[in-house]
Formats: sequence, C-alpha cells, structure tokens
Amino acid sequence: MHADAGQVSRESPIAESGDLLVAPTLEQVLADIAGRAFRFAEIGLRQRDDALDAVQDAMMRMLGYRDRPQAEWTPLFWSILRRRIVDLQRRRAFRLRFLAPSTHDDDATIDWVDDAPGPSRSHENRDLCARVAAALSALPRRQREAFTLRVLEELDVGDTARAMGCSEGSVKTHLSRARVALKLQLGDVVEGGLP
Amino acid sequence: MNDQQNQHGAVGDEEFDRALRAIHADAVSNLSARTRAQLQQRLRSAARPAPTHRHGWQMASALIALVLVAGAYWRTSMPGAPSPAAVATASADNGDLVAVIDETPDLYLWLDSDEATRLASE
Repeated sequence: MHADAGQVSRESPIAESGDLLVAPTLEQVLADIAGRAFRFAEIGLRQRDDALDAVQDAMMRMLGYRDRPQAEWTPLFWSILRRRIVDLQRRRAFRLRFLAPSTHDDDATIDWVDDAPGPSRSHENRDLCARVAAALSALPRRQREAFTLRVLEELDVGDTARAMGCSEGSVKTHLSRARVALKLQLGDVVEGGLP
Repeated sequence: MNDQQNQHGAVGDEEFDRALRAIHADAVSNLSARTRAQLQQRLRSAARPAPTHRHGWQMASALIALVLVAGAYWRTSMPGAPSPAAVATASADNGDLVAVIDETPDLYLWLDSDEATRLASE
C-alpha cells in the first residue's frame, strides 16, 4: 500500500501493542492524520479557518465509511478531503468574484507553534516551511495534490491515483512536472542541507 | 550516458523528496496549540453521533393532536353552533324527503301534464 517500510508505523492501520497486533479504530486513524490533513488543506486553501472546516467535514464524511476495509481508509480520506478543498476553493472564487472582487482573505503566513524552545531555530524552520508551503500553493492544483500525496504523505502510486481520481500515469505526469517546478523554486533548500 | 543521467536524476529526486518530506514533517509537528486543540475538538464533534429527529417529531405530533382536540372542543362548545345531534337529524330528514320523491312518480306525472305547462307559461 505504501512506498516504503519506514512509513508503516505512520500510515498503516495496524499498530503493534506488546505481542498483539491491534487494529486502531477509524477515530484513532483520523486523530493521527489530522495534523497532516490540516497542512494539506492549509496549503490548498491558504486560510486557516477554511482549512479547519475542510478537515472537519472530511472527517465527518469519512466516519460514514467505517465499514470499508481499513486498507481503503487512507486513500479514501485524502480523496474526500481533496474534493472538499476543491469545493471550498470554488465557493470562495464565486464569492470573491461576485460579492467582493477586490478583497483577498488569504493568510500570508502558515500556522505555527508559539512556544517552541529556541526561538531563532523555530523562526528559521517556520520561514523554511512557509517557503515550501508557498511554493506548493503556487503549483497547479493537480500537481500539488500529486506531490503532496505521493511524496509528502508517501502514498504509493495506486493509492495516490485513487485519492486523486485519475490514472497512475496521470499521477506520474503531474508528479514529474511538480518536481521540476519545485526544484526551480526550492533547489537551494536541498543544496543547503536539511533543516 | 543516458542511463547515467537517469540515475543521477533519480538520486536527485530522492534527495529532493527527502528534504521536502523532512520540512513537511517539521511543519506538521509545529502546529500551534490553538490549531491542535481545534482539530481535536472538531474530531470529537465529527465523531459525535448526529442528533436524531425522532424526539422532535414526537413532540410535533403530540402538539398537533393537542391543537386538533382543542379546536374540536372549542367548536362544539360555541353557543350559536348547532349540536351534532341536530345536524344529524336534519340530514336524516332531507334523506327521507328524497326517498319519498323517488318512490312516488305522481310528481313527475304532474310535471309532464298540461296543467304544469300552463302554470309555467303564466
């Protein structure tokens, strides 16, 4: 289901507890994925409250699918959240076009912890994360989705295609284009070393 | 040559992906306390079963029944309103009259007579 073994503890619905393998409930899976879902929505919507609404709505809808096999939960959740974000983007575009064409309510900054130890280090990381978020936000939607789900969320190509509602070939195409665009903007991040 | 380029490209992609994945993980682990709390609260409210409308329907049905009973009582207790017994008797009287007319053809014979025609022309 996933790209490599290193992500199993994060993505797999099976968690090890002592000698027994315990399957977490859907609520536990959603609690685990909530932070990443928020970042995904935040990059897509660039507005904190809208991102929270999208995540909550996706969770509510996801709970209606608790009877589905656990292996389907992750791609299904991302698929629901992705569609919810698109829906909110369209509504907002409509609202801005017809009601307040001159307003622009996007937050320029990303949500960030307030009381992290080492303020300068935290500030550097925040700037770096904001830069990556801005670069991802600037990508065409399908490229952003492909890169986020395939690379950042480490879904395999099949699950990414299911979450995006397209073919595996399309995922690879979007991903390749996203990488090219991101490398142009963020190449120095890799050359300068990891944070 | 092409193989070497592809190999270098693949390694470049992996390094790039790894670097961005690390930055993303850092971003996820540095969500503000307010956002974390709101996510938990929203997850709890999403997991809460939706309120059923069964009790609401029961209350509305009881209220409608009460209004109908009160309305019926008010109509029957009005001073000028005929009592149900009187209305039933009147209906029965009208029914008897119709039955009598149906059973006696003399009326129709008279209507067809010259006398009735003369009376109508006057």
